[in-house]
Amino acid sequence: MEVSLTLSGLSSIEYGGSALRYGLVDIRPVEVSATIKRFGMKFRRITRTFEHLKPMQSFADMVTFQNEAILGTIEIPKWFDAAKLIKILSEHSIESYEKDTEWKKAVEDVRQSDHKGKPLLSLIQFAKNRFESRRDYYVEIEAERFLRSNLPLSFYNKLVIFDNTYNDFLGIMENKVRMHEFLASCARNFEMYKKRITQMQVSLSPIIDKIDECFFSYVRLKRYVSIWNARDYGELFDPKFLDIKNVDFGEFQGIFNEYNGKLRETKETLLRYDPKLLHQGIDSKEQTTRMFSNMVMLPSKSLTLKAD
Amino acid sequence: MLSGTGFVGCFFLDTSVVLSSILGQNTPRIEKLKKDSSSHNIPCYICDSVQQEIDKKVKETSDFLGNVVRETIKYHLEESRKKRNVSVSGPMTSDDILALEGLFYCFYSARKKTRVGLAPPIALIEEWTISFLAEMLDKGVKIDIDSFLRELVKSLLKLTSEIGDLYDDLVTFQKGFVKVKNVTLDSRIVSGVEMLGIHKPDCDHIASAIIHQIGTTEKTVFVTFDFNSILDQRDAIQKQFSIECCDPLYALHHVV
Repeated sequence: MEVSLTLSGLSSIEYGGSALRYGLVDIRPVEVSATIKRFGMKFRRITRTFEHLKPMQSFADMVTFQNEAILGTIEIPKWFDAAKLIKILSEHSIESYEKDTEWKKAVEDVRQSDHKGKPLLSLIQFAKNRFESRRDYYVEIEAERFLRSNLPLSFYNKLVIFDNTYNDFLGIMENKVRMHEFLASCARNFEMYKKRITQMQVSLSPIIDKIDECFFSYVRLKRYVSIWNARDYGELFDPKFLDIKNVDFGEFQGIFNEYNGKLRETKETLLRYDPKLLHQGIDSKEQTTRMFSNMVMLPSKSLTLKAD
Repeated sequence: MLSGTGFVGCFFLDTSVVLSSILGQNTPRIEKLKKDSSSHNIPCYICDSVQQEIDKKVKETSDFLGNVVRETIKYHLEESRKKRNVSVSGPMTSDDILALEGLFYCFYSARKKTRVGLAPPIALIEEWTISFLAEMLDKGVKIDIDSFLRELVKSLLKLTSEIGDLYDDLVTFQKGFVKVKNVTLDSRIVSGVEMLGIHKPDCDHIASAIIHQIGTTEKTVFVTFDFNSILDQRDAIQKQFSIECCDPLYALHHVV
């Protein structure tokens, strides 16, 4: 499957928390009663499944709403029309989502499950495994963008930290879903089962809210930079060069600081939910680490290269 | 037997100690400091100016390296190919390593003539880029200039994002062995330290430790790896401000 990740922010993969909200929180367990015939006798079979509380259409609404909110808070270049920008950016994201059959199937599997397995855990594990398998590619995208820009590397570094944070978020979600779904599977009756699933949803919602807030700031920052570096609508998703001189530095700094603040808040929230979530130490023998470790200890004034 | 012999006081950590801890450098010394701090209940503090210096150093180093890759190395590799009438998009070979050798040679000779800049950054970047490329060529990986530069930037981004996460765990969220201590600086003490030849921001770090010791009467030890500008002045600092400065290895033994 083609991964379309662009500077504009939304990719076919990263929907922030909204796709997980749709798959794990906006669902309700239901019992379905059916009459079956076996050996000439009638039996009543009750199966448990999930139904979605909101239609799939809500993703389109969410994306449009998000783009309206973002573009409502940033200055837009005079060569763009705000309404048309919202339309184009939203359509692009919706199209990516619609093409993401892999993800849609994973969500649909939850609805069609008969609760013999662990459908909710399967969904979050699918999301986590997919994200992890593509993390290297995400860093590559940022590296590529850095090389076609004059923005400092520390800017891109903060974007990669979002990936790390999103990965931590998925890890916490996985642990919570595993625990709650296990407890639900041990429920004596359907009422208790529903109660346990509701408890899971109550516990997941604030974490999803937090990652959504951070994701909004992340997308806003990326959108801001790309919009001001695109000369026309066709360039919106992949401007040829990102020039810091094309953005209003004060506004850029404000948006960047706001994103950093949200990133920090989100990391703090995740750490509160899982105090064991401390990052592994760095491999100090790795070439880049060795070089960087020596370089960072040098006085600032020595960070210069002058040739003949 | 050291336990129970009355180690009372605190450590104020310098930037070099916190960065070493994050980057996994000087591990035996850092591990001893952590063990001493934990087993004798001696807090390890870092002040505002140390936090600011860590942020600044990581950012400056990262931006500097990014620019070297994006501008200097890219330009030189491409220009060298053009001069040799070799396609810029073709796979890299040993000739490209020799082109980089020429580039670094220019830096060394410029430094020899002007004495501007120091050898370490050149040597470190040289070792990093050449080893990186030579390793790929050794493995038979066909890589063009753009992909090579992308790989260098990727490795930097992965590392700096890890540093950012570890810094937040250790300092921002205080989930490790350090505690943040807000100390209001007194310009008279800062100037006094500066007069000993200790420049900013080191004089702010030491002044924070001094002010803490005066304000709390708690024996405070300033812990650093900086031999060139702090530890070589430790006798003068102690004489004038009654604060002891030392390497992490000896920190515990200064709070007796």
